Parts: sequence; C-alpha cells; structure tokens
Amino acid sequence: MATRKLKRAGVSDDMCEQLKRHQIESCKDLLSLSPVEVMNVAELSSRRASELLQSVSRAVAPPVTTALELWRQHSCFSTSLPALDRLLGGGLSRGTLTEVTGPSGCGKTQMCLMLSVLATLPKSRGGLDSGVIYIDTESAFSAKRLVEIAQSRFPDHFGCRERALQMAGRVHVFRELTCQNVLNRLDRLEEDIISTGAGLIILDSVASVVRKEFDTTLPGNLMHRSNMLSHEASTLKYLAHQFNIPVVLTNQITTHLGGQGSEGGSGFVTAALGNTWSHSVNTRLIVQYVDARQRQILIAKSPVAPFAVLNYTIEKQGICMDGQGALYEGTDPGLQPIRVQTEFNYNQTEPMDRTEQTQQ
Amino acid sequence: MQRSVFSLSLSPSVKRKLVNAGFQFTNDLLHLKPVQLSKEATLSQLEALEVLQAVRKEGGGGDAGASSSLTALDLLQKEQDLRRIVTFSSQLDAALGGGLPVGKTTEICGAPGVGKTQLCLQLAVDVQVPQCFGGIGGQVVYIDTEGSFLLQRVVDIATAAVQHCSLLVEDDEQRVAMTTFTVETILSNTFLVRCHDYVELLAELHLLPDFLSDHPRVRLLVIDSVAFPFRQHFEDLSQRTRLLNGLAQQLIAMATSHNMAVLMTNQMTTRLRGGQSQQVPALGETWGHAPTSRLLLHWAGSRRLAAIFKSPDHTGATVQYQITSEGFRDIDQSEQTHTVQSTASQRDTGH
Amino acid sequence: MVVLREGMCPGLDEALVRDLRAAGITTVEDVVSSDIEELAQRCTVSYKALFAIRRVLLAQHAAFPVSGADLYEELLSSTAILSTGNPSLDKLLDPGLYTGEITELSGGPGSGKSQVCFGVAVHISYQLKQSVIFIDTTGGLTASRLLQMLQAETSNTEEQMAALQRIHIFRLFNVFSLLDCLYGLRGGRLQQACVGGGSVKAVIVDSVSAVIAPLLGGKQNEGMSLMIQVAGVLKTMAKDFNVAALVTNHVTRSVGGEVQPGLGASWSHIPRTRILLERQERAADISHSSVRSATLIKSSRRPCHIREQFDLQWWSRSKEESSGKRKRDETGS
Repeated sequence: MATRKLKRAGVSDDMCEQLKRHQIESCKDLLSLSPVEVMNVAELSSRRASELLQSVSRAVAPPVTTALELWRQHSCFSTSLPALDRLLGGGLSRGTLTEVTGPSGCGKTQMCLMLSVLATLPKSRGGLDSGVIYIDTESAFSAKRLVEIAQSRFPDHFGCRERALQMAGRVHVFRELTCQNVLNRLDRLEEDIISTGAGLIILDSVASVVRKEFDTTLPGNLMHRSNMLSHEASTLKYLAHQFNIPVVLTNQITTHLGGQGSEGGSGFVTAALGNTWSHSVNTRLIVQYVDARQRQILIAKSPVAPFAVLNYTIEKQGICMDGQGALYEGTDPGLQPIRVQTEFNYNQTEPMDRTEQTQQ
Repeated sequence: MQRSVFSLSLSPSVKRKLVNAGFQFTNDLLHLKPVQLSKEATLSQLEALEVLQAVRKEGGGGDAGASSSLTALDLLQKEQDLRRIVTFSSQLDAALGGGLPVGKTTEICGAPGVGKTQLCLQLAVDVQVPQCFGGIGGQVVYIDTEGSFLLQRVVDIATAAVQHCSLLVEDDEQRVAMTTFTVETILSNTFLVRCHDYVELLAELHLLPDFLSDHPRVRLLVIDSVAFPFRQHFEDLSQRTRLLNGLAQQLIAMATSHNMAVLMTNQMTTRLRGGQSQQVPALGETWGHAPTSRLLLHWAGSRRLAAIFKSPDHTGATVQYQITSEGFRDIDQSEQTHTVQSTASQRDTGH
Repeated sequence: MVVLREGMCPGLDEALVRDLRAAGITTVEDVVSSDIEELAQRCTVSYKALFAIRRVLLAQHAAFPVSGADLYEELLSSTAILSTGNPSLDKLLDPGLYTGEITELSGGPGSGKSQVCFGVAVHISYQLKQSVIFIDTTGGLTASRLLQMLQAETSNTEEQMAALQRIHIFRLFNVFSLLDCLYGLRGGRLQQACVGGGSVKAVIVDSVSAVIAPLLGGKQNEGMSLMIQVAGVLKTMAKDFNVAALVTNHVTRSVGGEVQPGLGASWSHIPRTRILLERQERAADISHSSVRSATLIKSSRRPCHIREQFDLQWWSRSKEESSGKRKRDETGS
C-alpha cells in the first residue's frame, strides 16, 4: 500500500521523473519527507507541495469507517470455555493479538491445539469453519494430540476417523526454528492465509527463538531484539486486521529483578520479552500452577475484561474449566507475578485461598 | 523594510533563479508584471505569477497574518465559549481544569494495560454527550494504530453513558436530546481509521483537514497510539524526530483551526541514566514538547494513578482512578456514576 | 544587491539601464564594482555621467560610519530594560530583558518555558502598561492562564481586561506564516498594535523551535536558510523598533547525555542571552514541585553558568496561598 509507486497514485509523469532524480519512487518515500524537503525535491511552492502531498495521501490513507458499520459485522471467536468467553465479551476478538504466557507445562500449547480444533468446527457449532496457520517454533506441535483433543472433546462430531483427519488437514503447521525464518514466514503469511483459507493464526511461541538468539546482556542486542519484536507485532496486527481474524501467541516467563512493584523486594517471575512487547499484545492471559493438577488462567490485560482468575485442569479433551472465576487485584501486566511449579510442595495438598495466591 | 526573497514560501529553485537575476528583495519585484519577470528570471509564466502573488500577499499592507492576530481578551472570550470534554471522573476533571481542553493537544503516557486506551474510548463517548447534559455533543475521529480499538468495550462504555444521562433527565429539552443519544448514534458518530504504519498515519493526517471541513461537528481526534508506528522501521532517528515534529505542528494547527481536542497516547520506554533504569515516555526528548498537556498513567502496586506532568494552566496533580465495567471512573464509591451499574465485574482498586 | 531600475537616480534612464544590462551589469553592486572607464566605452555613455551615477548609488546604498560615542548615546536613550517580574530571573538577566536583543529560554518538556513567557507577558502588560506581541506556535497559550496570573496581581476587573487587551496574540503553526507575520510586524503592523495604549516593548515567540525543528536535517539546507531568515527578521525588528525579543527553544541530549539547547550551532549565535530551565527533581517519579532552576548559559554581561532557583508559582503567588495550594493538598495525598 504505502510502497505503491507514485505513478499509480495519480502523480504526473513529469513529476515522477523529477522525483525519481532524488530516488523518490514510492508514496512512502514521498510521505517520509517534511514539507520543506518536498518543496526542494519537487521544486514546488509550499502551497503546491501540500497539494501534491494530499493527492498522494489519498492513494495511501486507509478508509474511514464508522464504528456502527463495524459493529454490524462484529463477532468473536468462542474459546468453548463459557466462563472465559463471558469475561472476554464473547471470546477472542477478531483482528487483535491475544497472548498466552506462563511457565512450561502449564498448558499453553494445549490451549493452542484446542483453539486450532475449534477454528475448524462448522459455524453452527461455534467454530470458524476455516483453516488454521500454526507456526511452531518449539517443535511442540503434536498431531496425535490434536486428533485426541478433537475426538474426546467433540465425540459426536469427530466420531469417524475420516472427519478427524480432515480436521487435521486444515491445520497448516509451519516449523520455523530461527528468528529469520519466523520473520520470513510472517512476511509471506498473507499468501498462506489466502491459499489455506485460514481463520486463525497461532504463533507458538514468540519468545523461544528470540530468547535463544539474542543475549540481551550484550549492548545493542536489546535494541535489535525490540526492533524485531515490534516488526513481528506490526505484521501480525496488519494480518489480523486485514483478514479480520484472531491471532494467538504464546510467551515464556522471566525472572524480574529489582523488586519494583512486589512487596517482597526480591525477584519474581513474570512474562518475558519486556515492556515494549507488552504494549503490542491486546489481551494477555497468564496461565500458572495451583497444585499438581489444578491450573489457573489469569486475565492480566484486556480492553474488555476485568482482572479475573479462572481455575482449569488439563484433561484428555484439552482444557476444562469449572466455576465462574473470581476477580483479583491486578497490577501492571508487565510485572504481574506468575506462580511456577517449584513453589508448591507435592506432598502438601492443602488447598489455599485463591486470591491470596495471586497477590503473592 | 526589505524582505529577502529567501523567506518566501516558494520552491528553492525558483528562489535561486530570482536571486541569480538580481532580485534579492521583495521590493524589487513589486512593480513587475508576470511576463516581464518570467523573461528576466527565466521562469515559466506560471512560476512568475506565483512569485508575484506571494510578494503581493506579503507586501500589500498585510492581511497575511492579520486574520490570526487577536488580543488576549478576544482569546479569553473564545476560550470561555469552548466547553471542555468531561471524563466522567470528577477528580481527573478537576485536575485537568474542568476536563479535556478543546483546541489543545494532550498526550497520555503509560505502562501497558494501565488504561490509556480505556481513557481514549471513554473520551470518545464523552465528547458526544449532548450539550444539555453538560457535554459538547460532538463527533470523534479515532485513529487506531495498534489494533486496540475494541468495539465491545465502546458499546459497554456507551451503554453506561447513555444510562447515566437517562437518569439525569429533568426537562423536555433533555428528553428530546436522549432520543438522539443512543448507543447506535454514538457508534455512528465515531469515525474509525485503522493505520498500520507511520506512512498511513501521515497520509491520513494530510487528508484530515478536508475531512474535518466536511464534518464540522468533530470535536475530538484520538490517535492511539503515536508511539507504535514510530517505534519501528526507523534506521535514521533524526528522520523520525523530524517527522514527529512536523506531525506535532500539523496536529496543533488542526486543533486550533477546528476547535478540536487532540488526544494521543504514547508508550513508556526504559532509559538508563547514571546506571539506573527508569521509565520515561517513548519517542525521545524532543517529542515531549509536542503535546500541550501530558498525562502520565502509572501503577502504584495495584492502584492506578494519573499524574499531570505538563500543562499550560495548572502546575500538576495526581489522582487515583479505576477502570470499571462502565469505563474510566473515580475511585470514590459515593459518586453517582458508580452506583448506576455497579456489577460484580468491577475492577476495584480498593483502599 | 539591488536591481538597477530607471529613475533610481538622475541620469539613469531606460536606455542606459538596457545598455548596462546588455553589458552584464544588472545590479547596484555590479555598477559599483565595475571599472567605470571600461564600462563607459562598452555602453557608449560618457564617463562623467557614469561616475555621477555611481556616486549617487554609493551614497544611497552605503552604510554610514557611526562613532562609538554616538552609538552609546543612542543606546542610553533608546534601550530599556524590562523586568520579567521575577526577582531571580531578573538577577540572572542583569537585571531584565534588554530591548533590541534576543533572549532565549530553553528547557525540556514541562520545564516552565511557557509559564515564564506568560508571566513576562502579564508583567509587561500590567505593571509596565506596555503592549506585548505573543506569537504562539505550540498551541500552549491559554488566555485563562493569563487571567489567572492577572488575578493574582489585581482584583480590578477593568484593569485585568485592559492588560489582556495589551497582549496581542498570533497563533501560527508553520515557518512561512511565522515569516509572513514577522515581516508584517516589521513592515508597520508593530506600530498599529500599539493602539489601545502603550507601545510594543516585547515580542515573545513560544516556541521558535516548534516551527523550525521539523525543517532541519535531511539532505537539504533549505531549512537552515529559513531558520536564518527567522533569526534575521527577529534581530532587525528588535533593533529597529527597540523591542525585547524573547524566544523559547527545546533541548536535545548530547552524546554524553548532557542537556543542551536545540536547533544546533548556527542558531546558538542568534540569541544574545540564553537561559536553560530545568526541573529540580532528577528522579522519574512525578512530584509536582513548581521550583525550577535557571542557568545562564550565554551572556555578554554576566559570567555564564550562574544558577538561580525560582518558583513558577511566583507569577500567581497569591493564588498559591488560596485555591492553588488547597488543590494540591487535596490531590497529593
């Protein structure tokens, strides 16, 4: 769009030639100049320069819609977990980025697999009746588990093996194990979405490749890393909006030092990838341990939902939730402490007060 | 009084030609005819005409800047005619001097999830509150660069606002006003633009003056956020600064000429200073000059605080707020606005 | 460089101008610097006539030598020193804003540049009963703030209104309208603004960097040229009309992390006096202290790097005791 050639934006041939002499060929090149620079390269007076900028802008600027028009075509992607759906206002919002973060083994990948199954379901059953793009950077995707979830969660629908295999065929897995590969994949994803008819994008996980390749203790690396992450985020947001589909990402955890915001003063565990990344995701769900079997899901950042905590277990049919969930006192989603496995004792099965745990 | 031709808003090549032909000052050009000038300075006739128009506009005793000149007294009267946009949080209103100022630019900075977008959405609804309820009955242009505009949330906030106003109805005027203040009209008066990168954002801003002339009731422009598109794809930071400076001037000019409030959000970034890291608003030091007022939302444990960091008429204040299911509110429970629809799903910050 | 025109001086008629132009002589400068004898031959004009023309042109366009004593006399009679209304700043400025000079305030966001400008404007218009031109390029000016400051000075509404009327505001947002406005002022509108009592004694531009900074940098020097134009017109206006020019500038951070005024080295020669304003607290947390420090970083009268502290509340000091203070106590808890 922005890289559209000036010629196609209704700029006269003479002017195109004139601008080409200054290596200005696309709308982006021209709009990145200040008005005085435009006067200079186009040899125009300031009034005519702003006319030129306006006409080029017309070719680039996205359309204006009213919220009412959008509201009429609004729908959510149900997570099939009624309590979570209720809090999130119907499910995962289309066109936005939802992040699931938490310690390993807590069910992030399970969540992704379950959502993949849901997306392929027909619309009459609350699904999207579409394909899924599944970018797997941890080699954690298991087709066997995918089919298992499908068959045990919806035994009536996936009763026959053929249907289950058909479902699995609609989940397109891309295994990308380096940062560069992930980026390349994202840049080409537009084509993949069209060809596979995808209605859901899953990136599991954002953090693993990035954290593997960038040692942030080295100077300059942090900068490079955040550039890369914001590039990823903007590409995903672009795709989410253009195709009006939900995007689900997973993230890892890190130890936050310095004690800022924690009462203890010592380090605690929180979502990885830093503050800037936290801005990029629209919704952040944190999964954490309660005891050996019980897990919790926290809504840590959401434009619609309040801070809430829900208990769940991982069963054969994926994630199962009981209860309606409770509210908790939330804080900065970038600093929300996360409970990890090492913090509880297997022998001690004494139940604890939920809200107390989340406050640490 | 001689004015150099270099100071005219003409193309640099035309100015060079004028000077080469010996026309250093505008006085030298005053009595010339276009054809004569085009011959003498080897300009095209069209260029020559443009030169002369520029010179006459300036030299003719001047209506050039006169239209924008007014005394402080005139300005005061103008300001008093402009009402502010109330936030539904009386404490924040008080800190802002009565609400969000129309005709000014305001920036909200803050950590992720602290409520920047919430405040934007709240104000996008608030600006539409009819005049008889103390609002300004305007429309809003919402430029979303992060994909964080959530309709579901707007509907929640709008429903709460409509309900709040319907409880206040006392006279016929207000009853009539309520018929056109519904969730549906609120949504139809919200113009949404989704920009994916800074080029689209800049393009949109070039077109906005025309859009505003066509929609004279627009009283609020929201850009959520300025930071996101400008924090990527920039190898050359000086170019970014230049573009941001230009953008700031464009916004201020629009805010002034269309009597519109401009609300922008900015992210926070970590800066190392003297071995200590601290959270500062992103986009650099120079950008800090751009907004007229700066509001900083931050966490203090589980409390949310809003601090006024820069403001032309108040030296600053800090207030506590909460985000409820109805929107951005005071923490004080005794407020009428809260009792309307206090549900279980309230993010109470507690005291 | 002024183009030769017929009738500029006796003897310079249309035919001669045409002939001179044919010989490559188009401006006064050309005439003055050419060899008259050779020129007379080439244009077939009498040497005497040309010589006379040259003498007249020289007399018309040359600068006059002025003796230092005369200059001093003139300075004494015309220069005024305007108090800013704030004792600490006055002390730093030794002892106020000088007419005929450009004074610059620079500082980071929220450092109080605009507040100082408002205070100065109010002080000059109310206490000194003189007119002020206030050019606002950032949209930061609110008349209600000016009124608030005036209310601290007097409770007489009529006087407040009269003072407000002496402040003339221009709101401009790009460099070309700024130039148009400044040239317009210099071309006579400055005197017109005096109507309503008191002559214009100060021109305040808040901020000059807001319109110039977007022009600088990149692969062009047009922006630099425009900046010099702004500087030039400000300077001559200050000199010719004996007004004090007060401009504000933003700050940039040098490689070493040190704060310095923006707009680069070329601009740094323009203001005669530069003051850097800073917030007192260094930490990230937002305390609402109104105390600022001002450092003199360029001056021809006092040694540099003198630092003074002052309170932004000074201009509305009685305000602070009443509602202002209460407000802060209320919300600061």
